[in-house]
Amino acid sequence: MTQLRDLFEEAANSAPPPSRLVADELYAAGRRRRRRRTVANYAAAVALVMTAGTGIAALAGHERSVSGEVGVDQKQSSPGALPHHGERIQWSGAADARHLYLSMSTQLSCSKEPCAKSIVQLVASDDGGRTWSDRGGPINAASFEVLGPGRLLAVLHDSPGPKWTLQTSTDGGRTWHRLDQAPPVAAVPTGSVAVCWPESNKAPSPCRMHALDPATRRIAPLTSQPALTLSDDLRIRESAGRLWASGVDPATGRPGVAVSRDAGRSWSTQVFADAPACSRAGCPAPYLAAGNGPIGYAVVLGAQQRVVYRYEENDGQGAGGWQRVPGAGSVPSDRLPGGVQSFVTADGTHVLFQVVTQSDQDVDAHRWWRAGADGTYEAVEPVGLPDTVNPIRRTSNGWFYTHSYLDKVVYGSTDGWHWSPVARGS
Amino acid sequence: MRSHEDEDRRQFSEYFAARRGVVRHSAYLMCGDWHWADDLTQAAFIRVASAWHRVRDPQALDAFVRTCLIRTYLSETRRVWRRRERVVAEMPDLASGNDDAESVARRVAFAQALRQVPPRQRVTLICRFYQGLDVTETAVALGCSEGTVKSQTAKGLATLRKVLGDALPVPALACATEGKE
Repeated sequence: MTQLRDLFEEAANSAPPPSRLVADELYAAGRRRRRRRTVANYAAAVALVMTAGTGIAALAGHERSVSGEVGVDQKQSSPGALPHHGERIQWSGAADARHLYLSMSTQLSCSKEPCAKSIVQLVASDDGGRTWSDRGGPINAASFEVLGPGRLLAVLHDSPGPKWTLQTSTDGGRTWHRLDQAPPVAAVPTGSVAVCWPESNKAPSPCRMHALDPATRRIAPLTSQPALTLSDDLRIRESAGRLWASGVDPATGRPGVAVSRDAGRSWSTQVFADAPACSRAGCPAPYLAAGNGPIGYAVVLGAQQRVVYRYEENDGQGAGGWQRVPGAGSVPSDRLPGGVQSFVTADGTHVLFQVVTQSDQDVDAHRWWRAGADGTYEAVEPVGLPDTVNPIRRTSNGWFYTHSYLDKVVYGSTDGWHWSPVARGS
Repeated sequence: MRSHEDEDRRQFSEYFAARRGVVRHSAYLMCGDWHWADDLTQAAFIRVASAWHRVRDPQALDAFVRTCLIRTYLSETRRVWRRRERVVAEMPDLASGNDDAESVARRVAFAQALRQVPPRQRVTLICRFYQGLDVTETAVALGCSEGTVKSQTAKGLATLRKVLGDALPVPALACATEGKE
């Protein structure tokens, strides 16, 4: 066989002429081929769905629906098609991998004069991004929160007048209802969620912890409040049976976190005295991230430095403790804008965001830094995720999602490492 | 992600630089024409580039580019307008510097004999004896059963033997239709 191979070798090596092939040209051609195939597949899928669209439209009644080729559980081969051609995704939220919500800009529909940018159109999908429909008409909203499948919370403009009110929806955003104030409660009941909202007659004051029941549309302040001036985050983070509230110590102004393990009856507060010095404007509240278990992370922004604290309960009875993570200082911190700073992947890894300025685009990019077992952070690139996406968020059942403002794509992931488009705008 | 894109491009360039020669020579053995071999190599690497985000394992990459090359070649041989399968009286040949008359004669004779082998059988022989694949790997590359690989190998070698006679190494025939199993 060796001799036969020699014959092949001789024949193959008969003084070949120089090759005209160039790697860069081939790579570029390959990329063009991929784009063409993607567009062709996408167009075919859209054509197929539009063919069946008449029946879907009849079922959907007056709600406009746009379909794509997306399944759930991350097994879809191509993303669904978002409605409202040309409009931007302003916000994305999810209850789980099936129930997705977006607020989209309405600028293109304003034919005569610019619309207020807070006027958005809520669109939603109940099938993991396969089909999307408008939920009600354009609304003037300051923020949205997803409380569960079909259950939403929003800060809506209560016209006429300058007043913003907290309203809930239990039909996926089709209709909204104001809340009734209820007497104080000792803990957040089952079926309710913890929110931070100013008391109704003290609007400019710092928010206070409340229990909100979207079914009965009642909101009640908690009897026991954390010993912190709480941040403005509407939704109180909840994971592994713990409530996590961030704020600053009213006495010293230092950042701190309060954790409740009994639905808000009592709070264990940690003020980070060794946090880095803050700017003259004061310390911002820490930014929290938690995974499946009772482990949490608080990211504290100083004037020129960012530090991470890790919360861990070392037994099943006593309170947990916060420890400073030493390696976070190695993550570049030349730019420290506020907002979500990190997330925890399905395997429990803490991932920090680094904001990177792009000279050729108007939006910032992200780099991601993964914490190792020894507390050091190393740069990592989640597969399938562009660097211009919004901060990654996680549903209560551990599904990850985010969206890209520039290319109008919603991305989903089951583990936080591997991403795929769930829906795509045009 | 621009940095990710740059990294992909760099990795592809490195892979191309490392494997271009092997792929091009395999293509030449298949088609017997360096220009056509360049076309085939180009088509194979373009397919690899288009799927670069999906294939990372070097072993899988080699298998993937091999499959792309084979399918492109076999596809082209089935096209009427691209029937380049032609038998010529003399193989065009270039001296490679240190060739002696005997080796040139042997190479020309082998190349002529290889041209007599039908395309699919020829690809099978190239996989088995030039690329060193076993029966199973060859079957995967060709998208056929292992039995087909063995029969195609036997037929291809028979054709070579018919043309080359005793010049074809006999021991190779003993191993030719055996799998690795």
